[in-house]
Amino acid sequence: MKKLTTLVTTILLTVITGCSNLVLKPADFSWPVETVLKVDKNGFVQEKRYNLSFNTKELFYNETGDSLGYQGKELRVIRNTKGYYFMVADNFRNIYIFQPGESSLTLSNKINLSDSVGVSNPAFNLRPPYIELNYDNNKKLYLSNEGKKEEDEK
Amino acid sequence: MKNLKKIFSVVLMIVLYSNFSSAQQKDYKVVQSFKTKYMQIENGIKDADSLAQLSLIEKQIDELVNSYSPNKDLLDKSLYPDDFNSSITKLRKEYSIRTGDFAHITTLETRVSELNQQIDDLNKKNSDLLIQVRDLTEQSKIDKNKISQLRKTINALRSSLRKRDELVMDMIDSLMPPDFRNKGALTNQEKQNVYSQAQKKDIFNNVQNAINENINFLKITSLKPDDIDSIKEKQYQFKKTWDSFGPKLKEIYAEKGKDLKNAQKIDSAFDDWHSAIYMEAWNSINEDFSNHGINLKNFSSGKEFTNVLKNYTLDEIKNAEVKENTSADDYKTFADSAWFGNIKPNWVPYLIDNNMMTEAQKDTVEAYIAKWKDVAYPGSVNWLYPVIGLFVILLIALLVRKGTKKKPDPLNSGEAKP
Repeated sequence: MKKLTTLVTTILLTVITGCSNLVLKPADFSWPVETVLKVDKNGFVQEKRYNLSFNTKELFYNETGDSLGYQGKELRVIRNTKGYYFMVADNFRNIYIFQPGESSLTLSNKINLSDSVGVSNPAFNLRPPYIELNYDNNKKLYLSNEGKKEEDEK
Repeated sequence: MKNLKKIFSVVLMIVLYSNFSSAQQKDYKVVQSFKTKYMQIENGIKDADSLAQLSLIEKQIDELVNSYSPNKDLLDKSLYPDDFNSSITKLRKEYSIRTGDFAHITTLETRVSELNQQIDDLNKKNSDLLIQVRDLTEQSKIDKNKISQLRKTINALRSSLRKRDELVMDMIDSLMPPDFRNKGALTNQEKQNVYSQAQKKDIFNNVQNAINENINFLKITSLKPDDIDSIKEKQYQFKKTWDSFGPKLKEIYAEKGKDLKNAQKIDSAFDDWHSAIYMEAWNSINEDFSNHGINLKNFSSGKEFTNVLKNYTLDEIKNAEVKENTSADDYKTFADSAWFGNIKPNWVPYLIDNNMMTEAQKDTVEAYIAKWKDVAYPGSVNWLYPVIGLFVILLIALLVRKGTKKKPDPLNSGEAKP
């Protein structure tokens, strides 16, 4: 009986171990430099180095309320260490943070910068573990996928 | 001490300011500005006109390294698939290759310049020789002593022309070496170099001049098949060199919006040269007949040549009755001296090899010559046949007699009968 118990326990342990998720860590998804992507006439942007492509129509509609708000725009994108995508464009009032899903990007967080006027000349820098946002020529913010970390005004 | 404090505070301010500035920098802008400057330098290397300009670019590379070394980490990650050091190494390599190009171009320029001087000298010499040959040709018609002098001058002219043509081809090679010619597309800088050298060395005129003088040489001289073969070979080589160079040069001139008339003239000049070589054989044959006192109409093909000879012999056959005694002499001059003694052994193989005449046409000419012979020597056949007949009869009779003598007579034989 004792032998049988040992055998069953061993089999169960092996099965449980085999079924658990395999995790590779640590992993770093960060992009060293933001990328500035021109939105095409169909609303798509394409990042060649990282082979990323997605449609921005919904993003610009969400930000501007204009279904054609994407036309002629440039989108600035950077990815942090955890793998979240940070997106902003000139005159945006918010920073959009997305996480990758199955053939999609899902909004994870939206950080408000201003209620009335959009930011000018925004630019991301990678400053692990944060993403640094420079905007309005002299303002700076540190961001994580959870929100603002610190604000520093010159 | 007060001054020291002042200096210290200034240095501190500078350090703080520079730190603050770098903290404010936008990484994307840094990378983009590096890429822009890199491209500017790269284009500067390609577009540099001289070694002096290139040396300025070397300083720009050093400045680029100094300015962006503080951002090396960022650039290492961003200049995918290169990094900062490999990008700079690439740039320095491009610089070094371009410097090598200029050294090569400088050598070629010197060589072209030397060749140009030699070609000028030979052009002058050739012009003088052409005039001398013309004069001597006229004089030799009156004074036969001038013939050997004429031959010497023609030989001198021929060798001088050959030398000049080789130099012109060398010049083309120097302007656009074979590896340049085989290249798919030349860079703007390479095109500019070829263009300016071609302009400076007046390449179109030199080629045109070489062709014209060769045509003139053919016009004023009477040549032998071997001479024509060597001229043909020279023309072929010259044309081949030009064909590998001319289209590229024309393309460069067209891009510069320059007049292409001179280039197009060269194409037609080559055609003229080719025709002149073809005609030289016919003219020289006519000249050879003329040297035997036989004046023929002009001909420029195997068919015309056959017809002219056929008509000439038919005329002679018609005139044989009138000429009586002189007809045989005329036949001898035409057939034995001119045709069988000179044209047939010297020219006919050349004409047939070069598809200028067929075997059938040659046979036609010889058939008419044979007809003329029958008329020129009317008694010869009638007299010959009886002599041969008599000779044959005598020979048979002799053989029969000999055979009869040797046959033993069984009746008078000394052998004892059993």
